[in-house]
Amino acid sequence: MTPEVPRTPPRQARTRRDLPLFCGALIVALLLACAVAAPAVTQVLGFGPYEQVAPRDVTPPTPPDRDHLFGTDSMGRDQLSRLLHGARISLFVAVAAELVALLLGTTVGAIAGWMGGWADAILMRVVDLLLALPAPLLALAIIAAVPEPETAPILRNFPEPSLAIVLVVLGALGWAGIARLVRAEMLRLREEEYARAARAAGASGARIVLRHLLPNALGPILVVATLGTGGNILMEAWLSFLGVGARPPLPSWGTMVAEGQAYILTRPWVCLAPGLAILIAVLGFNLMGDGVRDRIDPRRRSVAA
Amino acid sequence: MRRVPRSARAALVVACALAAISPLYVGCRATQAPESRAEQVYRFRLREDPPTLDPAQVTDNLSEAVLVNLFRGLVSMDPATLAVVPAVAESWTVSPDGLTYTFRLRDDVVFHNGRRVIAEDVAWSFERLLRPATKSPRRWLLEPLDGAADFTAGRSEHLSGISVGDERTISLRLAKPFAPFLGMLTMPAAAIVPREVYDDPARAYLRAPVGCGPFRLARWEQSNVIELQAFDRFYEGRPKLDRVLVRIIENRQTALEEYRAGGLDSLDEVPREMTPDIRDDVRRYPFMGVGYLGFNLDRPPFKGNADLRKAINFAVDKEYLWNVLLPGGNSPARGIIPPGIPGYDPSLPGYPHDEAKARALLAKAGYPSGKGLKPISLWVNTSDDNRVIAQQVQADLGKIGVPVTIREVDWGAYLKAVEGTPEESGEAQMFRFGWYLDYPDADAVLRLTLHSRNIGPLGNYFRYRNAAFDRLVDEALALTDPGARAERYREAERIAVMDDAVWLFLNYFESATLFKSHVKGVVLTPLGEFRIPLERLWIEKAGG
Repeated sequence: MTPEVPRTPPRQARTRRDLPLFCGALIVALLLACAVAAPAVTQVLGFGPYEQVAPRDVTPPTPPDRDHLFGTDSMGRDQLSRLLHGARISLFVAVAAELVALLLGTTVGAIAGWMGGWADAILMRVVDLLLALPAPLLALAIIAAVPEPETAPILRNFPEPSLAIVLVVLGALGWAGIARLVRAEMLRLREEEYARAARAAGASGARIVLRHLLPNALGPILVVATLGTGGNILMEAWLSFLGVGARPPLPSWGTMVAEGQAYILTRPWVCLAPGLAILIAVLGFNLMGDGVRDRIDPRRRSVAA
Repeated sequence: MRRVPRSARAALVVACALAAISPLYVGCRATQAPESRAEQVYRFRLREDPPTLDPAQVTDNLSEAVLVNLFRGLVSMDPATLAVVPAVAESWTVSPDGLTYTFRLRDDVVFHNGRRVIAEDVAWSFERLLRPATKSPRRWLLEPLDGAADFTAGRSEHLSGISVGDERTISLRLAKPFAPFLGMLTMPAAAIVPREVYDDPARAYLRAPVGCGPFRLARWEQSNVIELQAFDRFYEGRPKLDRVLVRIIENRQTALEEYRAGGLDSLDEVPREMTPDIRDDVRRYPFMGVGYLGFNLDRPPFKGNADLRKAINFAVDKEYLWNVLLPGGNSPARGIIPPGIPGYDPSLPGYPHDEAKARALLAKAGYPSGKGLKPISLWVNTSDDNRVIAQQVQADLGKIGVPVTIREVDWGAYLKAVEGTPEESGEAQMFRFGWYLDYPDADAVLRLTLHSRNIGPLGNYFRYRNAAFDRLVDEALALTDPGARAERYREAERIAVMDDAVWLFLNYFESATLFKSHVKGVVLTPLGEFRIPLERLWIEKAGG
């Protein structure tokens, strides 16, 4: 805000600026811990996410009590246990889909950015096309077109075909933005001194891209991937909410919200708990992504002070 | 005619009273008075668009919900007593041999297009239902008629079992005595339609049906609303309601909020969670229907394995499902024939929940603890209740080691997977189905859904074939003594339930409907919530 901007902000300002990154990382770490701990918690509690633990003479969902901190759902299953296992589903699908997107996007972006010319033109038009289509609707359409993931060749080998299709679709739709970013980075970095030097020394294109350019583009890629993972969590929940994602009885958070919506006024914990879980998870990834970006972007660094 | 001056006088009195308080307000009112009778509009909800409005094609209760208000047949069923009562026919006689039914038609029945209904219309409508080109899934309704087979096969120009006397007389002759025939003529598929509209290769009548019922179709906005208007020349007199709005609202919660907000006058799904504002609106009443999970008997693993089917029956805790998990609206079933229907057997043991028996039978079936069983696909059409039912079955079967995959699809995709064709079965291995009896007779469930003649879309989706069962059901058809008929049905039910375990027997239905207190004239009927006669309803809003 002031024209007189110090090159290195004072320590205090720096900590305040890193607060989102810290919070985001903390949330993501907690989520990971939940996902990892879920089977162990099942062991300790003595019941899993599929067991009907509510008393057999009371119509579920039963309210939270000492045995079931978040109550039970409409089938009498422990909500906490389902939430923890839901974290596994959410994180696994979101991260795996983002890895697929990263792989595709980086490859396409690097080829387009490095080669330029007609390859660039064609690849980027594909990217434009994909970015122009509304991703949620496209995802819905693709999933609807594969009514039997159990019988689809690639999907049927997964332990949960209904999740596999969500994973594949999210990955297949998420790469376009990454490709565009990586291409831009390639265009910028290939004119750098070290890139020219490597070229002058006779290094192959692939070597320059992989050894010199991509490592220098890692920061921005990380930011997009982190934000994309948050987006994937939301999208998986949304698809499951609509009933086309995770199949019952899988404890996807989206499915849990859908099953709880009938009780939103009378027994709100049934859909509030998974709803909050989605909110917190997406928030965590977004904060982390924003934080990382602030950290590596020199322009933002100075303005933030 | 007397109403208008009287309400005008009332308006004047009110106007005078108000004049003392606010001259300005009266100024506005005076231009609007006298107010004529408020428009009578009744709004109810369907969860999906009716698949068809052609009476010859209707097989589901959503279509019937609209159709029964547009069309009439020779006879109707009294909604409360289930007795056959006059409709387009004012009277009828049955010959002593039980073969010939002679109907005398009313002379004041007109179609919505203004033409009078004559006996020729009845003959043409019945022939239309039987004609192969119509492809009616309800053709069997008139198959008891003499010469029906020849006519359907194209060997005769006209149906020999139908003879038209004069404009107001028609006789129907059966090939052999068939007790439920008159009751079957009350079904929507036996509706009388005008030839000039329905003899149309372009099938414009699908969007613009014309009948002689109390209401006529005014508009149909897909997935939104169907509007019916009172038919002024309805033979029993114009209905009290001016308009009926059938609102298509898929989501149960949305529908409930709409009901609460006053956008619906009744609601066919009572929420699981009762709140004080709607508690007094609930009406529960018996309903002739039975719910089950069907087994595909033509595909593994259920083909030829009654022990597996029995194991599954014992494994599922139906008491918990209907008394605790989804209370209200259903009672746990032991068999096929629902209570209240002649032939219902209170002493039928059925399959009470027994995990130990289930495990033993599963081992006997060749799958000890489920070993060797591939995941079984359980198909349901999308609904909140179905999701609970499917997951409960999945959980209970999981306990004995039977793996189940739930397939949740919309109604069209569901029917496609379930119905199959007469030659080949659908792909669903197990599927949730509710069967509403079209007429209050065990014949309407035993023969229609389980006789080997009806394999495929006709109703026997399970592809059940049992000669002894078929024979008993056929015998019962020819008997006129109600006691002897019921005895046959009890026997047949025992074969299908206790020997063959053709279904996973789940529930007998009850209807539960929410009605706003201003809806008057409601006649609750075992025929179901969508068969409540709308021509008897009226709206009476306090202060309105």
